Amino acid sequence: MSIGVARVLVVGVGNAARGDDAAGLLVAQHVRPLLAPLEAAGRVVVATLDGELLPLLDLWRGAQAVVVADAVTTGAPPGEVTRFDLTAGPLPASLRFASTHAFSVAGAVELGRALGRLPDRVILYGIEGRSFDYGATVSAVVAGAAAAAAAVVAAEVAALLTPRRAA
Amino acid sequence: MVQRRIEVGALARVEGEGGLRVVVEGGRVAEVFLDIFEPPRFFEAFLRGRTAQDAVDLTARICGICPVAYQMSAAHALEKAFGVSPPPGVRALRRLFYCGEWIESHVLHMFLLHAPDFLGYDSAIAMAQVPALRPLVERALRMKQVGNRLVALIGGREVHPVSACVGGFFRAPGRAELAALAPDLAWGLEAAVEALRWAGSLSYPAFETDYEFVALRHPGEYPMNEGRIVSSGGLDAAVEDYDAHFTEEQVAHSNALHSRFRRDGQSYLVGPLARLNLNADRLSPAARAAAGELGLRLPLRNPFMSLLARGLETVHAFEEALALVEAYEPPDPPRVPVVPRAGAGAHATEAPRGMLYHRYEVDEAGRIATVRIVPPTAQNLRRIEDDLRRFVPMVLEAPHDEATLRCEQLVRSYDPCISCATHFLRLQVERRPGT
Repeated sequence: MSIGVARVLVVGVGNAARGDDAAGLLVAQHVRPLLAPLEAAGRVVVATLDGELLPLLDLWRGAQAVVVADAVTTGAPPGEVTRFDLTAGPLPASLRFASTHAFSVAGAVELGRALGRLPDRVILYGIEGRSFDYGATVSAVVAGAAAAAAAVVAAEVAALLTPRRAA
Repeated sequence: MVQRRIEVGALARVEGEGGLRVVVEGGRVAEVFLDIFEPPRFFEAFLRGRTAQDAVDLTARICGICPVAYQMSAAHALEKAFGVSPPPGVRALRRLFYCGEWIESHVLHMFLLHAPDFLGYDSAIAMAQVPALRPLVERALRMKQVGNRLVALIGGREVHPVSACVGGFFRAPGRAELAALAPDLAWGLEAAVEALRWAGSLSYPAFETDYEFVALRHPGEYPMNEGRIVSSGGLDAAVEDYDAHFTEEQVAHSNALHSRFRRDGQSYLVGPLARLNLNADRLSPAARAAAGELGLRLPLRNPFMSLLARGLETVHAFEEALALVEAYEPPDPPRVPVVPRAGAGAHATEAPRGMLYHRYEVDEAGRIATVRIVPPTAQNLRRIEDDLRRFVPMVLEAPHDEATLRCEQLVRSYDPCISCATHFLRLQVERRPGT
């Protein structure tokens, strides 16, 4: 029987003033009540980041797993949610993140990997966005997708914390 | 005649979205365009009709790297409009706040964005994969984290802080809260001096420019929150007279306006190099000692050496932050009351990338009627293009990839924050046959 991780960090990344870039922040907002008992028990921390992303390397200290939600642009239809497991390796180079920051989520994760400072599990939920205009509000389809993604993230966090019988 | 074209789709390690296009005709640099294609932000328009405090909170959103600068320029300008003057304790806390931002911004740029150029790596990630360089990256991350913590402690959070307000701060940290940071600041000061020695050991391309440097100058301090606008060409003006000396113009290839002197239409340089050259006598003792140890002869006219200027300012910021923390008494109250009235106020502070000018007009209810924001990168854009025009011929004979990299390195040396200027970068050098 394997042991579930002791603590999971959930991070929503985005900019609320830049259209669909708010997707990650909305995931954090929706996931917080779903994980409230676990957060109260100190097993989960839900956080948001809306600037440059190097603070991720400090945020995930003490967590054995991190689940990040961020807007992505892969060419898929807006609102499509894709799960990436970055534990073993980086994102495919072909995937471009909708980030104007000097260090994207992928950059911060890879810097953490190079420095041997990655948690044991690193999961990314990418929510496909379309419009990232300044001052724009998030589109209805992306807002809906973020709410739906939050339920999936909550389920994954619960699974990460649960001891599992080895296959 | 051979046509040669160098192109970089997206210049990395700058903040924002833009590109660089250089056209070379018959061996002569015909055109240099810094294309700014990140969408314009219209902050100046959507602030109209909002409250003064909205300006402090919303302009901070212009930049995830230097929100403190936007908050400080906005708060000072609006305090002038309302005729209030925060007490000395607030002033000291604001200076400490700014030290935090200088530390995090300068360290990010020096070690994680610019250093790979000097060491021949694609990124800080590639540097971190080299055991010999890993401690450099680790140290930089730790230094940066100290700056982040300082900003978070004073501003309520690391990015887009929420505590600054017109009149002071909504909440001032307690003495013990800041005192707890003192050991890290003392470590940071030593680390910054060591980091500067490393920066002094780098090889800098030989390229000097006869800049007119522009920065604030204060009677007794290295400039952050206040001072007169001075230049190496003899300008000495009140910040309120900014518009009398500088103008902005729209250019077709950029969503950001370009600044120039009204006097003669010439470009100018703001930022760490300008601040250092105009204010070296105001550096902290440790920064002055470090400059002496490096044997720096001022003025520094090599844009690549802005790395050294950032290093010196990082030493200064750690030393001053430590002194401010040790002398700290929480301002009580943390803000002065503000009674709205109609008026106007202009102010400039020194963002990590250079002078940041704000001007506001407010109505009787204290609502914003007009806004003008001139970020440092917009002031440097024309200067960057002017420098590239001189620099490109020096690298034209180099292999294509190297020439491209050198141009990128030059652009990065200004630490352009295109998000601020509107506002990222793509580099494209096009070589056309001569006529």
